Amino acid sequence: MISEIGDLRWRTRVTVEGTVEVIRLQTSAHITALLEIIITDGTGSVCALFTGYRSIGGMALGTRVRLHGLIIEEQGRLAFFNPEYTLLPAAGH
Amino acid sequence: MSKTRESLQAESLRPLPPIYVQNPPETRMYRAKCKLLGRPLPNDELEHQRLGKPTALAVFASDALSSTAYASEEIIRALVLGGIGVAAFNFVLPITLALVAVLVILMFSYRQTIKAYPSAGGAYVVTKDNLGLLPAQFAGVALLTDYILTVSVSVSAGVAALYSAAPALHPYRVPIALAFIAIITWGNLRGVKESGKIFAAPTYFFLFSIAFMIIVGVARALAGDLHAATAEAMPTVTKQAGLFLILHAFASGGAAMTGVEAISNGVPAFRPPEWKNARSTLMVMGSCLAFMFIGISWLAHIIKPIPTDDKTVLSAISTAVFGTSPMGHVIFLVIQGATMLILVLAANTAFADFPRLASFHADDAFMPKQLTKRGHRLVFSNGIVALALCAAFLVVIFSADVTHLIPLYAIGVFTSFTLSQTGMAVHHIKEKEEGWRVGLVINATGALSTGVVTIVIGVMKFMHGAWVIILLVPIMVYALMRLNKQYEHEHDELTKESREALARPVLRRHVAVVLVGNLDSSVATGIQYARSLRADGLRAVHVAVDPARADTLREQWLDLNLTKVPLDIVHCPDRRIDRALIDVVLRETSQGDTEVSVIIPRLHRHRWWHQLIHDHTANAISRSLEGIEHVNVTFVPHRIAELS
Repeated sequence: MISEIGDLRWRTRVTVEGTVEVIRLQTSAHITALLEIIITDGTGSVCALFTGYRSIGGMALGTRVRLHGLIIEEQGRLAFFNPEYTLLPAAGH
Repeated sequence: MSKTRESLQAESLRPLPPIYVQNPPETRMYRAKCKLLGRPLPNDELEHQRLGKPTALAVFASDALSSTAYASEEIIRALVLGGIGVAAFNFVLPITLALVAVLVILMFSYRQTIKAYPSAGGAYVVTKDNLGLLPAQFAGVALLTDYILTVSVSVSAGVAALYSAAPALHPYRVPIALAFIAIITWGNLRGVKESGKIFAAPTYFFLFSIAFMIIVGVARALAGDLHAATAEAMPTVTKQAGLFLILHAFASGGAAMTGVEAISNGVPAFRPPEWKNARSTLMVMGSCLAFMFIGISWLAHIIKPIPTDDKTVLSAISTAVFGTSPMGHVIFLVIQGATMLILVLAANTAFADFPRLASFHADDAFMPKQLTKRGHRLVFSNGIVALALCAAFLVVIFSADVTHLIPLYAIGVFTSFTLSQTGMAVHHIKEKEEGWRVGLVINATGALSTGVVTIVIGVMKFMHGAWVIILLVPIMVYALMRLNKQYEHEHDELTKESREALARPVLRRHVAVVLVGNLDSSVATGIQYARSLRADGLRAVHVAVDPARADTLREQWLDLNLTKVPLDIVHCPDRRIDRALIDVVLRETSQGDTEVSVIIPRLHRHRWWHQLIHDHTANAISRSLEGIEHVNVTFVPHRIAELS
């Protein structure tokens, strides 16, 4: 079942779909590489953190993705931590 | 060890370095302004900008006196165009006398106003005090439009005097008129007193030369050797003179009355005792005006000059009076010169009054606040510039043609006469000061007669152009009321709840966002500044309008190793940067616990034209972000060396 991002609750395991809205470029000085993206589905936006990556092939701005994982709290906002992800074809294709 | 302690002690005993404040250099624009307008006047010189009676007469009377240069002509024009032939000249003098009767009523009415309102007795203040704010807006706007027309009409008539003497200049009348407006504007931006000095000589020069012409003319007429000049060229009689035609001519001559109110508007510009000096100056001015107006009309009655496109009636009269001998021609040129000068400078009266009146409106929040600001030389510079622009616009539209401008003129001034006299009548009834019954009779007569004249002018000249004013004034008043509502609303919002606003809790989180277009040194400046804010979160944001550019930026960001500042690359498929940024800040502020500082680095512009070569995305962004609560936009200037 696909949840709406606007309805996400802390410590639940959910699946959402949305468009990659922001890609955060962390600096190389970090000990562990960290990729942070924000996806949005029109009801809200949520952050996803991927440790160990600088970038994920195919996950570019505007790409539609499906994320599945546990919702945690990171710096006062809800986020996925290393969720499972699926790249989806662009809407309308 | 002890040595170190001693040196430390010596260090602590050393006096603090002096605080040295370097005077920042003045901009090139400001230096040019000082050259053009003179040194800036400090506030405490405001009090000294007072006028003695002779100078005041020159400053305030030039408008009223100069209208004698074209008032008789406009009466004749209206009569001749009515097709009544030579009979036209039989009506010039009676119509003039009727207008002088109105003038006398006005003079005595304004004596009352000056005494009752010695601080500022303009139509605006009197109407506001006695009839309320809305009628005051009508009086004020009517008067303001008339001041604009005073400038256009006077300057155009001045140019007419010029090309009557030098017909070759006729095609260049519009640029010449614009040049005159520019010169007067410049004089006024330098300050009242100095403009008084510039304008005193021409006013008296005109006064004496016209008086000389009238005396010589009367003497020659009495001696019996002054004859009708162009009797054979007289147009054919097509109809008999009717009441309508007479009233039309009367309405055209009404222009002579403009400027009578000038003194009552400017009482504070007189030396103390202001009201006494203003009153006696008003009487002198009115007497001069009546003498000249009657004199010129009487000479016109004898000489019967036909007004043509390139020769004014006044110039035809002076040719007839002084003859065509070389000496006579020299005197003719002198009179034309004097006429041109006074007309051009008559516009100056409007320049003294328009900015002051506009500042009254603005003080009551009925006009933009900028009009209350005194400029470089303690005058209302913005009002002066506004007047100059409006008048120049009219001169261009009507190609500096007095006859076409005249129908628009005078209706405004008579409207404000009527309102202010009615206001004075109400004032007498309310205050019942000593001698109020006499004052009431005087002002009621004034209100009634000017009211009748207003209606006559409005009806007679409606089709000829007065409709513009009759339509424009209510529209303007509506606009001013709307403006006032906005100001009142802003004022209410700003004054209420300031105490509660201060008591509200300070938000606990602060995020600083630096906008990045390209990676350059201005962005570095912005990031350094943002770091100094010590916000809880700091990051750079790039809106990816162009994906290729976003990729380049990403590479550079990693290359430069910009530690501790993450870069958000934001999707923006529709290229609307401001919308994308609104999403960015809303994500931060939606919890209601975060202040966001949006930092926009930009190049500092050394020259005004640098504005033109950079796009204004930053301003547009700031406008749309500032509407969001808890979002604060900061521009960080990046200074680069000036191109030598």
